[in-house]
Amino acid sequence: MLRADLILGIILAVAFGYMLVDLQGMRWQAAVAPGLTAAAGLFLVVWHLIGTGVRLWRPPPCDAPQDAASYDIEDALPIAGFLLAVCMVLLLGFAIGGALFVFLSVLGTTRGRWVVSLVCAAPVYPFFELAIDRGLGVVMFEGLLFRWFSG
Amino acid sequence: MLDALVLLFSSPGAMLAFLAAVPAGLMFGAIPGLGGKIALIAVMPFLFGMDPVSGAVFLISMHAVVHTGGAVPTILLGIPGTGPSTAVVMDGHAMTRRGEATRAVTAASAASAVGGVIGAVVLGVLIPASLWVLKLFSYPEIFFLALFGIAFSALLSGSAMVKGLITGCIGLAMAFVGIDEIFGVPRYTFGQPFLFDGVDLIAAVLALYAIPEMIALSHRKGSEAAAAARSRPADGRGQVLQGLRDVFVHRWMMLRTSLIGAVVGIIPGLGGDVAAWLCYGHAAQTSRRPELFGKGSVEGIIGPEAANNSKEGGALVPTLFLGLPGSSGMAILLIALTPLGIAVGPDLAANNQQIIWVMLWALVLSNLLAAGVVILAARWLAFVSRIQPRYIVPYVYLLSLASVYMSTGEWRFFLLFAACGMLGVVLKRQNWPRAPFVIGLILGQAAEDALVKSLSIWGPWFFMRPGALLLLGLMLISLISLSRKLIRSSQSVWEGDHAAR
Repeated sequence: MLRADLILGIILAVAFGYMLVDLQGMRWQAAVAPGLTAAAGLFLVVWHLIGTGVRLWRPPPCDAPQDAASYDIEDALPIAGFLLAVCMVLLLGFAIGGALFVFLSVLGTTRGRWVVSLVCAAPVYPFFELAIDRGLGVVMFEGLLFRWFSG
Repeated sequence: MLDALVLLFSSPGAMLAFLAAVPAGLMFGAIPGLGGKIALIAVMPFLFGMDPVSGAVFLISMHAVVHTGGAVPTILLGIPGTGPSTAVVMDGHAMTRRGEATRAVTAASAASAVGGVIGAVVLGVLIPASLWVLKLFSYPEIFFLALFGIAFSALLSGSAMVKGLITGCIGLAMAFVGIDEIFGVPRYTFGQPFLFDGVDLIAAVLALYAIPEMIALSHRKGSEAAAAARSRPADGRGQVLQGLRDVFVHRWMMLRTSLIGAVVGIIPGLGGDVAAWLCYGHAAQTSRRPELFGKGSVEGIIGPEAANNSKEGGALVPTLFLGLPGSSGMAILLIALTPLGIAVGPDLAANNQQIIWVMLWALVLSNLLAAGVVILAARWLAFVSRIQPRYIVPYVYLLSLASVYMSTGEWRFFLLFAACGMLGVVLKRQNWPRAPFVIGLILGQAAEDALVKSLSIWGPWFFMRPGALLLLGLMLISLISLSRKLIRSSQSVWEGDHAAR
């Protein structure tokens, strides 16, 4: 947890540093708020990094609790599920990509019960195509693949 | 005032929205892990095309009753339905194990209803005074209020205070992305035209809040709820009357906790967790039998439940009158009001008080209706609690993406949504508070505008204005006293818990 905190802190320090550098040449009205924010953020991140670094290099006491956060493959699956949702909608749109995502997601959760997965996925297409698109008149994203095919 | 009530009852759309919102809010509260923020996120796609009155009634009514629904799994199953319900779980579930589930649920629902009504009364009292109060607020005061909103939510993150302040800065930094309004200079856009209008609030807030919660829910198995449900004892009908009597007996404590909740709600940055725990501590400190706290004291249910719901009325005060969200839930509510064409802030208070009164009535009526529904239907709501949240997760992903697309019409924001979602996952996993980020992101533009105007008009000593100094002093005092009270409450809870072992 401490190592991940350290890495996150370094990334944030770089980001706040970049913010400060990028403000050069701007008028004070445009630069004052981002400048103050970046300076405060950089100061706090450095403070945090020093504290984390000290705790990381100091040997922990025997009765210290174990780090709660550790990353393993169990964490990766739900994150992959979320990224799959984004990719499906991005490529195939809400109606088709969304339905396919719900089907695959429930199939994975129920360990291959495809009837349940089909039942769960079935309302997605009519919801986006009929209720949102035709009902509310809001044209939903059709997907990059369909855009590409239709030129 | 009464015109708004007539408008609410005479508009079929608003009444339909009201009647749909109460059960929806109760269900979102009853399913552990979902809660008010996810409820608002999930319904956003349905708001497009709604008229402003119906949409506002729907959002307020649904959001107001989430905590009332959250009491059901908390008391019956021992699984907190929402964050603030954690203050109720020890006493509530202890009463269930003692065979007093219906009494506990009735007391919780009635206290929630009274708390909700008191919160609405606080809002109602402040509506006529709002224009006068708003005249006292100029740019320096707005700047300090925005700053304190972020500071409060960060400082109350306990041991993660520095992390909270850093995430507040990240939120602020993200608010500055886009073309500068005064000189038209692009800031942090990396040459991407879709970022010229800034980071879409819906994309960032949904990603930061909904995605990490849903990923955490994907891990959770349904067995714990099912196992707890099996141990649910039989209920007695006479317990409904007993629960109502409890609320009447402890009416003064309930009134005090409701007022504390409303005041906590008014202070930008403090959420329902703070209100609930603060009032749990107050109930324990003022009780004649404090030794029962943690072992099934009905006062330990009434205090936090009343505060939970009264906080909503208080939180609407800065949200509606100043455009400064009183909590992260209010921040999402503020975003959800945007597609309805309701621009909150001083203009709303000056020109469209009717809609504020409609919201107030919706707040009152939804709290009363929800209490009745929960008392009558607690058993069925307990069944809803057993739905495995991981089946809901894919739909929440799709609804979140739909909200992002509807608000932006630009597919590139899906990438930003994914990136912010990953950031949210890391922040949650590393125990970095996310509330300051959301509040910083939402208040960033207002804070920058107020700062630049303050500096231009009054120079660097703008904070020496009497109003700003008064606000600064009040905020610092309330910050210190609230922190001390919270520490004392957590100590008394810890001691109670320790003694119980």
